[in-house]
Amino acid sequence: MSSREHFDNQPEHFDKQNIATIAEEKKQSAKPAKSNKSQLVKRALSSHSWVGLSVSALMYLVCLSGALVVFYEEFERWEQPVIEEYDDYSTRQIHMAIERFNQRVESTPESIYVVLPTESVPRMHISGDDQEWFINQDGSLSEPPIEGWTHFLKELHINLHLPQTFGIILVGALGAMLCGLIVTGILAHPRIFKDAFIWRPKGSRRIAQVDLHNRLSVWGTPFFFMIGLTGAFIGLVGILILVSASAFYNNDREAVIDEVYGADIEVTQSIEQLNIENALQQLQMTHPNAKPIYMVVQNFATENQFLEIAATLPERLIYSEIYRFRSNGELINHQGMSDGHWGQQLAYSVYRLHFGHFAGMPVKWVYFILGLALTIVCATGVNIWLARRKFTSFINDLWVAVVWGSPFAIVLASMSVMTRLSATMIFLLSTVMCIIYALWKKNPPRVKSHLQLLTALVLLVIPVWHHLHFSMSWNWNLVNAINFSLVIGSAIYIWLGLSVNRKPS
Amino acid sequence: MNIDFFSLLSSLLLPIGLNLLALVMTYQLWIRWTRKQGNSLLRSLICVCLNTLSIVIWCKTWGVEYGVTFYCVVSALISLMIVFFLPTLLGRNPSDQKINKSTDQSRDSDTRRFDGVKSRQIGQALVTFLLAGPWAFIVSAILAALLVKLYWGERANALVFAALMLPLLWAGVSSWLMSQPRRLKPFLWSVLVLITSTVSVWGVN
Repeated sequence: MSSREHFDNQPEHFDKQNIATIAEEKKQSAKPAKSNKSQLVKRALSSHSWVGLSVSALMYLVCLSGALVVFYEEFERWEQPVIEEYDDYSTRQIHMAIERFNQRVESTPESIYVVLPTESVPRMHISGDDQEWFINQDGSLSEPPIEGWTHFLKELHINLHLPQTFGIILVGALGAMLCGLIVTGILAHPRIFKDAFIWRPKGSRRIAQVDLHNRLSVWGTPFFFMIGLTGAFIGLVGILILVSASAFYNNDREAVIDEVYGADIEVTQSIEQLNIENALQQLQMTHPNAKPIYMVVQNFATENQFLEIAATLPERLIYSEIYRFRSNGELINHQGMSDGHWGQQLAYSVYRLHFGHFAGMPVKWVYFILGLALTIVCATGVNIWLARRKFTSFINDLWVAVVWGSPFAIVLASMSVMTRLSATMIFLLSTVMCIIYALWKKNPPRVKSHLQLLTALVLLVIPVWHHLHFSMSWNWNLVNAINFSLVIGSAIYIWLGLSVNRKPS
Repeated sequence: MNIDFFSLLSSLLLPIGLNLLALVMTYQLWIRWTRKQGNSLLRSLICVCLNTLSIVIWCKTWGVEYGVTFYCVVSALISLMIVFFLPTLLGRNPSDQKINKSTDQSRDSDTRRFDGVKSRQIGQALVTFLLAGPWAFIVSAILAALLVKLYWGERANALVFAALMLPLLWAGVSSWLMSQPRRLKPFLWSVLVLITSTVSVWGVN
């Protein structure tokens, strides 16, 4: 008989003793359930800890670089501040650029890409067969884009500077592990609702770290999960293509890609002059909301030549819709990224969703802040584990070198903008130096403070050097705004570095 | 710069304001709950309605795709501001009391210390992860292929669905393997799943 039935059947006779017995019965029946729950929590915590520790350093690097790389378009402009910037373009300018481009390259490429100016990057460039130049407003070609610090930062985030395929799969794996960590983190946290707003900065250092880790994780969960999943999708989609091609498409990977992203079209016509103006007018008439971002001349100067114009659509996360035109500007069709199957729309939406490149600068800032929050979650996760140990070891030294050495190394690598030294080399060398210093010093709080102050120094030197090197004016523009932000960053690092000295270790 | 105040109000200030109101209401609800003051059904309903209304306003103003994303990221930011700044601004932190009480021993603030994790244990865990991770990946990749096969709709949808499920399956399988105190049984289970899925995908036409 259950306790409920016991109560119901003997309403007249229950007394204190009965209640005590029933409570005991209830307690007994609740025990296995509670034990199962605590077992689940224990296992989830164990998995969370070991998976987190195993991937911590790499995940920290990917999160930190990811938070910064949100602004890669702005950093590219900062890196080459003397390139002409303008919002408008003309078809005459594009024709002239294509003509100049063909004069400059040794062999005509199959496809020529013309990237149009946008609000975030008011510059035009032309490329084909790995050759690329910026376009001046008069249609002449300017400097080629450099593969400098921003490129280094992007590569660090995309493949950790490992060989391309292996690197992107590894970073995709980190995205998948992030999803797993979120799930085990939630399971390991039975007081998730009760502690939803708890923040105890006045508690011990470890309690503050635990609170910081848990509060940032809990409230950032939708964003972190989205970033992990979209990142894993981008990194691992190649594997699924490989497996699916083997299982369903006779090892034809192109067929799998065509199934999702759409196949290229075949156009046959007599060779004729490209009429970009007509194509743009057609686009304006048929899809007035579409904003062109780049165009591709496919099969240039052949009978199969056609023009593709990629355009963003308002309120849509898809990277772009691609509209296809004959050489005379007549609209053929569009790829169907905006109105195809939901799978196609979703597959093409993960990029902007992951990069934070939609709805302008405010979204970039939100992504940057939440990206930094995820970086802090990575760091505090390991800090909690380290603080729970009764002793310190070389792991404490290594961790402080990773957490505070990486931002220092990334900032120091930006010297490459002025010196033309390799950003990757500067980053690797300075990271190694930070690790050696931390292992030699064996005093994590002191090393942390030194690295913070060093970062502050570099953050102060870089904008001054940049300003003088490129002889920038004092007008309020993006380049000066970035330099000013670096100075602010320096002030924050000075405050952090000095506050470590004030606190008892 | 010419800023249309009314468009700014309707497109940004109104959704953010409503989002803020919904989360402050949630915070109030949480305070009453943790203090065991009891929340009336009406108050809870208002809170749910405000949050729903906030999502609806975001979606109406910015479209569904932007709207849902904005709701998530703005809510995260506002909540974190409530957690870290509001109690300080108000001069009373509901968490302060708890430090002196038993919360210090709660799981969240888990003050238990390790007796000391030996380097051998760390090494073992790392090796286990390095073995379990790739194994879990193989299992989940085959499971993803099975999903493509079993999916009833368009092939393009099946491929994208499986591509999104692959990381989740991988995360799930590797976390499950890592959470087990003894890993032989889970490993045998995963072998069974792998064989069954492989036969289903490649063996059966």
